[in-house]
Amino acid sequence: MTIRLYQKISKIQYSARVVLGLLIFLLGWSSVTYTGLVQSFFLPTPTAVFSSIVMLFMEGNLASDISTSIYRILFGFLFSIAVALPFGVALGMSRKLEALIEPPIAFIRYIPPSAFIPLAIIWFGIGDLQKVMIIFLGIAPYLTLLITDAVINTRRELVEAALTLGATNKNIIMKVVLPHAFPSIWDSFRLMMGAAWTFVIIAEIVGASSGLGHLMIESQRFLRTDNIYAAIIIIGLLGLATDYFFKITYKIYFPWTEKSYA
Amino acid sequence: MLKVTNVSKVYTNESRRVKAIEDLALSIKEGEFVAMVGPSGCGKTTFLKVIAGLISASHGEVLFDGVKIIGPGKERGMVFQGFTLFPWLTVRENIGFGLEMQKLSRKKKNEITNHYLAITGLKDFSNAYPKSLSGGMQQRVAIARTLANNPKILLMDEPFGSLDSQTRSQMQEFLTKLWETEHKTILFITHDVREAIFLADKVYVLSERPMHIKKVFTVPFSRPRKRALKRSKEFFEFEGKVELALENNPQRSS
Repeated sequence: MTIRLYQKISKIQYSARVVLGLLIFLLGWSSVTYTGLVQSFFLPTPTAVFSSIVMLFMEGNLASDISTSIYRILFGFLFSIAVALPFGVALGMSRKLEALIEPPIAFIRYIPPSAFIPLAIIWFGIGDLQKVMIIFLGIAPYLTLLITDAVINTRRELVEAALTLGATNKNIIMKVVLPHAFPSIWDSFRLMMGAAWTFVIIAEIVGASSGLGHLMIESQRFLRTDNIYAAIIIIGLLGLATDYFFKITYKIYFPWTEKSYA
Repeated sequence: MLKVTNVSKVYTNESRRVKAIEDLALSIKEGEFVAMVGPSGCGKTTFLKVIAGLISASHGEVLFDGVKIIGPGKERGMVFQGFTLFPWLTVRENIGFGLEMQKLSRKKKNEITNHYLAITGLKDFSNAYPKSLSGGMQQRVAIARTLANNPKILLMDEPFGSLDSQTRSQMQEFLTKLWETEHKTILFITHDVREAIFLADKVYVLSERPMHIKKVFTVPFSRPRKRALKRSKEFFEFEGKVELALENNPQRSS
């Protein structure tokens, strides 16, 4: 296999490989289930899982569970951005502030967010607010440091050029540092969105009355393996969709980057 | 218009003190095209950045129109050695960057931008991003971006240093033509003697670090200057004199 960093393949070639990859996955799954190699209690057949998804939609609360989880992620994520963006930029611009704030952020960052769940339940109950807070504690510290890094990586010559063109400090932040950092910040959003999914599901499994995580733990209590798989597949598909959202918007928003051509 | 008196610059890092510039003095008149030639790493860029106000001198002062320079300002435009276009802006937006911050009317802004798009021959590329331009074109945009801001002096730090020799000589011709029409005061830094002579009215020859002025030459060639000048006997002889001054280094024992 040759490695070519800037290799270009056509859309059709790309899509063909996407379909092929999915087919291989489905084929493997089918070959161990339809043949009875693995008991359906542990791993149901693709058709069984598919019909559970349909049933959960028609008769269960799947649609509202999905929207609940998405809604929690959205709020947790927006809250994290609202805090991480100004802090990240400030940390990247000032060494003094970095010395002051970075250690506590690093401290929180090393604590698994799941460790906050018991405390969060006492403080915020088991409703939406507690899920939002868990997501926030899980991703805001990472996001802050990733944004700080993106800001620090601003090319010095660009700042100097702007200064000689009459830029003020505010201009430097708004017209040089942020536009320069935005593609990598956008990438951080994409990565942290994956983490947000992890944390919301964990929080919903530990204590919730709705959401996809709650659906899974309920299904486990009633030994409905097919429903657990249904939820897993839904989560996977939603994750894939958000990933694509960020990839496509990256190309639309940042046509000037090298990556937007790939 | 620009008066530099006894400027020195000393860098200190953990282990040692490096003297980059020593007691440098010069003055530049309005409308003059001055070139400074010196070996690589002699402190030329540092000196230009002191004038731009991006770094401060350790001793001495720089007066611009009688006012002491304490920071960067748009009246002292700079064209850098590396590519410093803003990659997220199109050619047109790059040229308009300085104007954007001056709160000019849209009409005025477009007028100026169009003018510089035209004289730099970049009209067809006005909506292109820098990444799709060649090195020569990128530097032309950078020059246009600085000129659009209408600086009183243009500080140029080896702006053609990273270009191939053919593009380089095209750019030199472009710049002389530009100077002959716009009559900006230009301080041009280079390590290329031929470039300095071809472009400037006055050439300062610089020493190795710590940098100081070794000799000043007044260039005798009339304008407008064409590429053919570089092949003439007079040019060749003059180049020899400047080169000799550049190589001649009495302080050096090795």
